[in-house]
Parts: sequence; C-alpha cells; structure tokens
Amino acid sequence: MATIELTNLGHVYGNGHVGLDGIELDVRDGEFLALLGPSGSGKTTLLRTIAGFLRPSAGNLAIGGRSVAGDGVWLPPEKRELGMVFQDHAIWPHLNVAGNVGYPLKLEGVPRIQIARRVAAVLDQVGLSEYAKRKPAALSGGQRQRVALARAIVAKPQALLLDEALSALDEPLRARLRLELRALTREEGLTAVHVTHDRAEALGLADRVAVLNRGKIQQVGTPRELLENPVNAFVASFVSDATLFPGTVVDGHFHADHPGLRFRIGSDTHGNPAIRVIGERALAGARPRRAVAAVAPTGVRLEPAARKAPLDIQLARVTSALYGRHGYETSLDWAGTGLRVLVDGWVPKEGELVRPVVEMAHVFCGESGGGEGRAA
Amino acid sequence: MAFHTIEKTVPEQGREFALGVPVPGSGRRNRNLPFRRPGRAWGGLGMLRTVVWVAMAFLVGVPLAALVLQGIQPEARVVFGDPAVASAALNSVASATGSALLATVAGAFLAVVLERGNVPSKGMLRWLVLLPFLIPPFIGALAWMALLGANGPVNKSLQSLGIDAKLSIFGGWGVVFLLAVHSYPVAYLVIAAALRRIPGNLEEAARISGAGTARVLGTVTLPLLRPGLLAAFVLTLVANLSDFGIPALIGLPERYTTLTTLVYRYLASSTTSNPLPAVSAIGLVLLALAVLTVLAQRRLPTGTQLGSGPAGMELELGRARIPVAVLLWLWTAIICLVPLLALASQALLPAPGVALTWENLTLDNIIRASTSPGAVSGIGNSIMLAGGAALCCTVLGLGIALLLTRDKHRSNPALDVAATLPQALPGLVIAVGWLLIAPMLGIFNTSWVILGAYVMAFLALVVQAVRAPMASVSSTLEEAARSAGATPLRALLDVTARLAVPAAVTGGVVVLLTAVRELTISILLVAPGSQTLGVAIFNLQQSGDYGGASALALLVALVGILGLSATAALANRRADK
Amino acid sequence: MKNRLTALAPLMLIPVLGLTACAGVGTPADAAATKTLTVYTSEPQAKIDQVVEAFEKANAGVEVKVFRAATGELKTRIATEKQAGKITADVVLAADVPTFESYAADGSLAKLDIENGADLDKKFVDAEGHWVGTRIIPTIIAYNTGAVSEAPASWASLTEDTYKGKIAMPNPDVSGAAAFNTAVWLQEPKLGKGWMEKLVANDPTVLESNGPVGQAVAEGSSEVGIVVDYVARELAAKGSPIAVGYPSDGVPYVSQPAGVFADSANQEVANDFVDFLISKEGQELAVSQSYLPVRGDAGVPAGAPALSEINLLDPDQVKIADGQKAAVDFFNSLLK
Repeated sequence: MATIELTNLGHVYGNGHVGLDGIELDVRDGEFLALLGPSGSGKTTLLRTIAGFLRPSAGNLAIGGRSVAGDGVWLPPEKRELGMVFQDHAIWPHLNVAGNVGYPLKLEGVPRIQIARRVAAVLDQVGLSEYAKRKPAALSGGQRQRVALARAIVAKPQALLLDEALSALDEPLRARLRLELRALTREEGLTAVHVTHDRAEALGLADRVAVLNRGKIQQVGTPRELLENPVNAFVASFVSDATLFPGTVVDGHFHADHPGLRFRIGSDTHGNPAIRVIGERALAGARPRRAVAAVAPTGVRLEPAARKAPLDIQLARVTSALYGRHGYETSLDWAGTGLRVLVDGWVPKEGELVRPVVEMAHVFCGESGGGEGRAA
Repeated sequence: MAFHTIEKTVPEQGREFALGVPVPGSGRRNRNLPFRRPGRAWGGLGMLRTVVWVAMAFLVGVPLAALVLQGIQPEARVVFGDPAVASAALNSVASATGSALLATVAGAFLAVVLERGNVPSKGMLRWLVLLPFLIPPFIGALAWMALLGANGPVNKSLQSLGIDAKLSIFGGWGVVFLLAVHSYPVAYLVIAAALRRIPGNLEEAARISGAGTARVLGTVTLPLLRPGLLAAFVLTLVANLSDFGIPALIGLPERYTTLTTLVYRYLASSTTSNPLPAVSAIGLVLLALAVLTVLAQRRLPTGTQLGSGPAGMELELGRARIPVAVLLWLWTAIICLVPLLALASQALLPAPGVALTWENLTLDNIIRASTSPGAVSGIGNSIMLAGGAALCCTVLGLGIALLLTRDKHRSNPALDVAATLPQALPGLVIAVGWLLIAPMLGIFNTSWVILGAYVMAFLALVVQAVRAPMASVSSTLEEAARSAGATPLRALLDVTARLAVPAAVTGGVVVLLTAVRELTISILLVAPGSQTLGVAIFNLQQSGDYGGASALALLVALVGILGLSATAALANRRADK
Repeated sequence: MKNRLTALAPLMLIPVLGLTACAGVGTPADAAATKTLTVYTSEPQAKIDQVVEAFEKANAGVEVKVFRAATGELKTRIATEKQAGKITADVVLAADVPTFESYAADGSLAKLDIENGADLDKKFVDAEGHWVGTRIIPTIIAYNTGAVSEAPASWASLTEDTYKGKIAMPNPDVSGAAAFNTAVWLQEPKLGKGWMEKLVANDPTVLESNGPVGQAVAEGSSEVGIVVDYVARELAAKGSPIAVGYPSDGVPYVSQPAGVFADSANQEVANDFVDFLISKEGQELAVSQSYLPVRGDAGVPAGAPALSEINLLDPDQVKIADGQKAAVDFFNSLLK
C-alpha cells in the first residue's frame, strides 16, 4: 500500500476548460479518502489524472513515493499498479467472472495455478466463490460490481480508485456494498480514493473528505471537521446544505441583505454563543465588510408566528415539509429567500406562518456569497 | 359522425386484441386468418398492414417464387453438370471471400486508426477513405483500367525508371483487389460504428489492470468487436458475390468468369438457345447462399449495448504516428484519388495512345459523350427510374418501418425478412426473378421491369434508415396522442410518421443516388428505350469508345461524390440537432 | 359479405399506389403505334445515332427507337422474343449473312420492298430478298506503330513466336463479326484448325468485342490486334498510334445486313429505313463514319484502300452458316 501525493497539480482540457487548478493533496497510506463535489467540480478529472488516463498540464503526482507524472516523467496507467472500479462496473462481457478477475494477474505473468488460487481467494472475499464460471450477462448489478471490486484488488494494487463505484446501484444494496467496501479496505489496509457526489456516502465512508469545486480543492478534512468547521461558504452549503445569506459585517454585527436577518456575531439572536466567524480579522475596526452567513438546517429554530406580533419581514411561510429520518425537512419562503430547516418534535403544515430564529451560523468574511450557491 | 359513434362501441374488443387475449366468437376466428380483418377496432393499422403485405408479396414474393419454380425444373439442373458453371461458381466464391476478407481487414485497420488513433488530419482522411464507396464499382474498374493500362501512367513511369514490370489489373487478382477496394468503405463504416459502441471504460479497466495499448486492443477491443467484424465480412461478401461491373471489365479479358458474368453471357450470347432455366438454377443457388448467410448472421450475437462510459481509449501511436499518417495519405492517394485522375486524363485525351500533354487535352469526349442521344436518353431513363424507385421505396419503406417498430404483430418477423432479404440478394438474382415474371405481367421489354427490380433491391435502404431513429422515439408520444382521442393509425400518422419522414426522405435520396448509377440489374433487364446510364457507359466501353465511357463515368463519379457527401452532411446536421 | 369487400379494398390500392408513384417512368415499347420504329442493331451507339438523326430528318413524323447491343446479345434477345410469341423490333441491322439466312429460313424476316437494291453488287443483296448488306466490314490486322514497325503480313504470320502474348482479338461468343470470322478461317484451306490451334497457343488476349481490341492496340497493351478495319482507322484519325494492315492471305468481311421482321406492323416505314441505309445519302453517311460502302458511288473513307485493292474472302455463306456454331465451340475449346 502506498501514499499518493499531488503537488500543485493542474489540468487544462483541449478546449481550454480548466479541469484542475493547483491541487495539493496527500493521501496517506491505508487511508480512505473521498473526493466530494458537484458534477463538473473536477473530482472525476482528479481521479482520472491519478489513474493516468489524463495527463496533468502542471504539477507533480507521486504514488508510493515514486513520481509518476510531472517534471518530464510520465507513467501510463498500466504501469501504475493501481486498481480501479468504474461507475458501471466495466466488466468484460467476453470473459467469465474468473477471466475478468484473473486478467491483471495474467498480465503480470503469474503462473496459472497461482492465478486460480488468488482469484478464488478474492472471489471468496467478495462473496462470489460460486460464480467463477459465470458469464457477466448472468449476474445481477450488485454481483457485477463485486466482480469489478475483486478485479481491482486481485493484484494487490498500490491504491484502489473508485469512480462513483456505487452510484449505479439501488438502495439498500448500495448501503450494504458500502459497508462491505469499508470492511474490505480496512482488512486489506488499502489506500483508497473514492469519487462521489453523494454527501452521505462520502461522510459516512471516508477517513477524510476532499471537497472540490471548479477544479480547486476547497477543504480537506475529516467528516466532522467539514461539518463543524467549513472553511468557506461553498463547503458549508454543499456539505451541510446550509442556506447562504450575503450581507455586511459592521461593529460585530452581521446585517444580511435580507431584511429579516441580523444578529450579533459571537452569540445568536438570543445571546447564545454559536455564531462563528471565519476569515480575516473581521471584527477589528468599524469599517463595513461584505460577508456571507451560512445557516445550516439544524441551526434554525421555528417559532409560532402568533406568539408576538412581529414585523412581517420576520415571518416565513412553509412551502413544503417532507418527513425524513431526522425530522421534517422543511422549506420556507422567507421574504423571497428559500430557507431549509430541520424540524423535530412538531409537524409544520404547508402555508403555515412561522418565525425563523437563527441559532447557529458561520459567517465568512470577504466572500460575496450569491454566486457560490449550493449546487447539490 | 357515424364513424365516430361506431368507434366508441367497440373499444372493449380492441383492447382485448391489443393485449393478446383471445376473444370468444368471431374474434378468435379472425386470429387464424392470414391477414387480420381490417376492422375498425384496429383504427386502420390492419389496413396499412394488408396494403404493405400485398405490395411485398408482389414485389418480393412473386419474383422469388418464379425463380424457385423455374430453378427446380429438371432441365434447369443440367446446368450444374457444366464445368463452366462449376469454375465460375468457384471463382465467384473465391473472389467474394478473398475480397471480403481483405475489405474487413482493411476496414478494421482504418476504423481503429481513424476512430481511435491520434493521427493528424483525421477528419479529412475519414472522408477521403470513403471515396470508393461513392463511386460505382464498374466506374472504379474503368478508372483502374485507365491507371494500369499497358501504356498507362503507372507502367510508363515504371518503364522510365527502367523497370519492365508490366503491371496489369486484368484477371482474378485484379477482380479480388478491386472488389476489396470498393467494399472496404462499407466494412469500415460497420466496424467504426461497432467500435464506437464499445464503452471506453472497458478498455480503461484493462489499462489500469496493467495492459498496454496494444494489449488492450488485442485482449479487449478486438474480442468485443467480433460481431462487428463478422457483420462487415458478411455484408461485403454478399455485395461482392453479386457485383457485375468489376468481374465483367477486369475478369473477362483474362477469361476469369464469375457467376454474374456467366449469367450475363448466357443471357447475352447466342450459344444458349433458352438461357432462362440455366440462369434460374444459378440464381436459385445464389438465393440459397444469401438466405443461409442472412439466417446465420441473425443467430449470431449482435452488438448488444455494453454500457456507457467515456469515449473509447485514444490509441497513442507514439513514434508510429507519422508513418501511419503517411501510410494513410498514400492509401487515399493510390486507392482513391489517382485512379480518378487516370479516368479524368482518359476522358480528356482525344484517343488512346495520345501523349498526355496540356496541348492534347480536350473537352471533346466529355461534350460528345454527355450530349449524345444515347447518353441523354440513358441519363433521362436513369433519373426517371431512380426517382420512381426512390418514391416507391420511401412510401413503402416508411410503412414497413412503422409497422415493424410500432405495431407488435406476429407477422412482423416475416415482414422484416421480406423487407431486408433482397438487400442480401445478388442483383442478378433479383434481375432474373423479374425477367421471369415480366412476360406474365405483360411488362416484358419495358422500363417497368427495371423499376420493380429496383424497388425490390433498394427497399431495405429506406426501411433501415427509418427504423433506427423510430426505435429511439418513445412510444409514449404516440400513447399521448391516443389518449387525446386519436385512433392507432391516426396517432401513428400524426406523431410517429411525422418524426420518421425526414429519415425516410434521407433513405429515399440514398436510393435515388444508388439506383441512378446502377448497372448489374439494368444490364440484365435492359429493353429498347430503357437503356440506363450505367448500361450506356458499359456499352460505350464495350464498343471501344473508352474516351466517351470515361467522360460519362467521370461525371457520374463526381455527381455521386458530391451528392452522397451532401446527403450525409445534411443527415448528420439533422442528427446533431 | 360486406366485411369481405372491406378486406379486399386495400388490395386495389396497390396498383394505384404503384401507378401513381411511378407515373411517367416510361411506357411499354409498343411498336404498333403508328410511326414508331424499333431497330435492333450492333452498330456503335454514336454511329447509329447519326443514322437515325438523318433518317428522321428525311422522314418527318417517324420516331426511331434504337436498342444497341453486341450481336450475340441481340440474337439471344430475338430468340427469346420469338419464343415468347412476337419479335418486338421492326428492323434488325447487325451481324452477318449466315445469321440472316437462318432468320429467313425460319420465317422471321419479311421480304424487303426497297428501291435501291438494284444499285448494289449482287453479292450484297439476298437473291430471295430477305436482307441487304449495308456496309463492308473487313477484319484486318491492326498494330501499334510505337511497338511494331512493320505490319504482320498475313494471318499465318500471327502464329510466329514474335507475337506470343501480344495479340488481342474479339470474343466470338459476343461479337458477330468474330464468330463469322472464326468460321471463315476454319474453312480456308490455308488456315484451318491447325492454324487456329497455333494462334490460340500464342496466348491471345480475348476481349469482349472489336472496340476494346482497337483500344488495346492503340494504347499499346497489345501490340497487334485482330479487329474490324474502321475501328482502327477511326482511332488513327484521332491521333492514336495505330495502323492497319490487310492480310495477304485474304480478308474476311461481314456486310452488316439489314432486314425487316415479319412480325413488324410497320412494314412500310421499316422498308423505308432499310432503303435509306443503302441509298446514296445513307452510304455517304456510312463512308463518313469510316465504313467501306456497298455502293460504288459513295466514295471511300479517308485512309482506306479502294475495295478492289483488298483480297476479300467470299466463302460459301451456307457452309459458313452451318459451320459457325461448331467453329465457335472449337475456338472456345482451345481456350480452356
């Protein structure tokens, strides 16, 4: 098993589109790293660059301490000793299961008896020992993905690359394979890089997650770090599903452009110390600065509208309330801004008027917000 | 109004039919009739089906039945004892197989290199390698004869270099070579399409497993390409088995006779008193061969959808990049361009053996040949016949494709075979079939025979052109029309047919451009006053007017190249929308 | 009952569909129409076009339809039509006397009713009036002036080793003149089977008809060719390096006879056409087309010798007619 080190990696497509820009990333030995981002963010480009299907236009890429791309070095994919699982499994229809799984060993020149032994062992690991002689056409989707996984790990690769490997499967099979995958990589001590656009999958599966947007890494951290300390509005919005409020910071207060939201930084509107500021020394000086407040669905409390007689702009109308595992995922129309709130303990009704109270938020100074809206 | 009310009284029955549930009483009996009663519950679809079936019985069934009946007569069987027939059959099979193999290999090479390789100026090359496809084979033969004549440009140049090689295109090898030249573009198109259907990630999976480009090609790409290669081989085999122009012009001077030229001889020479039984017997054998090939091909695994994924892997040619590019340019120059130039020079010189200098060039041949009454009437006849065939094929082909894709019926497999089998038949089989039924229909010695044979031969072009886009149009569009109150036929005509018409017209244009340059069928069916352009050129060549023949051939080649390129470009643009 | 009728209705649509879709593609060749004449001929297309043009100019209101093919093909067509019941052509202009004798014998030809026959040498006119010769087409030895300095003097000289693999000749299966010549050669005492065996042993290139032979000699792919003289003279006139030699041991010729079919409903116009062919005007046209004329008063083509200077072979036409098929078969058997 090995590390993967990316230094200032860049990729520009033939049509001028920038796929990757200044990527700095170290995947540790035996680590399970997820690449998370909206479609077009560059996560697949990054994975394909590691695999060797794309040639970086700048920077360095080293696998297991050996440089494989950059500085005039170029190692094609077949020389990188990697394993890869593709989105729609890419099982060769003209070979049977054993033929598919044994192919990398055959290329290595492993004697036939050893191939058979190793293939049997790996098929056993993925629970397909009965299926060695089957043709891929006779397998179910989950079984094919297991074959693909077996093929990817059979030759004990330096690292395992997973390209949306579970996306084509339906729940609950997907959840089961997720668990199996995690167990397998732990067991084998595999370094794994897993591309996904599914937040829950990335956060649940990975040791660390790298969030990408527009070809740049936004943040690398453990799932918990991403949720609790997002480094910018995009990460907050993409990872935690936060609603973004552009506004201004003046004198320790955040004044959203939205007329209903303003609060003191450092404590919530009720004085709870939950509003965090990220960015430059925002509080110093009285000069107004542009900033963005990210409000996660769990950071808002809804109060009945009738309790006081507040201003109209402080009221929001429930547009939808969908029951989910953690409560009602409620959407509000708050004077023109769509706000997402997780409601637990009571049942919001469509059309009902409520008063949102922001209890937690991240304020990102020096960002304009708006354009960086969430994409998921 | 009355119609409308009746319509409403029978929906129950109609629905049950549609679901395939036998209805007691009269409905059940109806299911056993060869053609379903075109009852109103069918909203006219049954009528369309009946019309199409009757047309197909007349256009395909009757000529083939006549051929079979005539061919199994005892007097016909005598022909198989003739050693000339045996050697012609051997030559036919050998030249068709050899050329189809060459064409498939060449097509596969071109497909891999031009679809996947990082060759410079790919777009231009892709068009240029298709040129022989746009030129009728017999005109290609004329061009190569001009190029490789004893005092043609090639042999002259070799002589001036002191090499007395005396290259000649005539004979069996020339036939195989030229058949391959004229069929490899089809193989290339078929294989390239199959190659594009192979998802790139199957190849990437092999690369990440440790296989280099060549290894991927050998262990993954080519095995997956097998159905495509086989399809290309069978297609070119059948086409080459039936070609007349090349074996007639290239083979006969060296007494290399194939079945097509033998049949022509039988029909055209005085030595056989009544050639029809013998010719039918030969036709019957070719028919059986074609049916067997088609059936065999249907049993083979087709290019199933293998999944999606990125475009196929780019073939990194590395150091071979420039040599491959040079090879391809030489290929296009030698195979596609130089023969045309030789044809042009022959057309522009006043007489054979005259030195090729600027002063000697003249437009006389072109003017004379293109304004002579024979050529003018040939052009007129060909345009009329091809236009008529295109129109008939478009209308009928559209109907057939609609029924095949939109109406699940147990006669569909039979209809499918009836519509596509003639394409696999040698033109000579079709011609003989029509020759046999013409006196019965009272159209012997008229243009109608040629027209009928053209429609039979080219119908499949339209059916195939319409079928693919129709299959991809969701049937829910039609269901929406049905729920809006349209009868099945009305829904078919208002929605699906409208969407299919552009494809049908494209197919019709291809029929037009193919039929207008046709030789094999028209030379066997030609009658006073119905000489086609192909026959006119062939006659000019046969009567020794090479200059005139080349001039007309050059015009046909240029019109064909421009016409088919333009059609393809328009069709592509429409597909992109 | 009503249902059955509805079922049949679509059947009737078919011919309508076919007819409307194909309207105007051509009408059946109906020779019975008042002034349409159908001519079967083996003349080169350009030449017959000129003849037709001149004839139509002189006979307003007549439309001539030409079906041109090699003689062998024409004979097959005529035989097939005869079998089917009726020959659809009015006039045939092709081939050689034996063919016409056989047509006359089986009653296919009508007796001619022409005026100009009297002006011709008797050997060009059928004594029984079924056919008349229209041009003299001798078969000679043509050679490429770039490759050969001196013409082969005789048929006999073609069997010499010098000409091995260098001779082109037309296929007697296809070319009427070639079939005729084969029979003549076999019956010439000085030539005969022995000569033909030696000729074929010299590996000649057998091309489909006379035209391609002329081309082959002109472009040099064959150095000498056995070919009808006008083909070679025309190429020479256009600048090709080809010249003509009349063999000393005799020149076989065909007279391209014309006749009118008994089935023709246009006897009068058909006879007019035949008469036109041998009229002074028709023969002058033939001369301008490089043919040797059958009339003495039409001149000779440029570069051609006078008829009297050529040693024409005049064998017994009946014997030739009887021997032609066997001769062609013999030739074919040598090729295998």
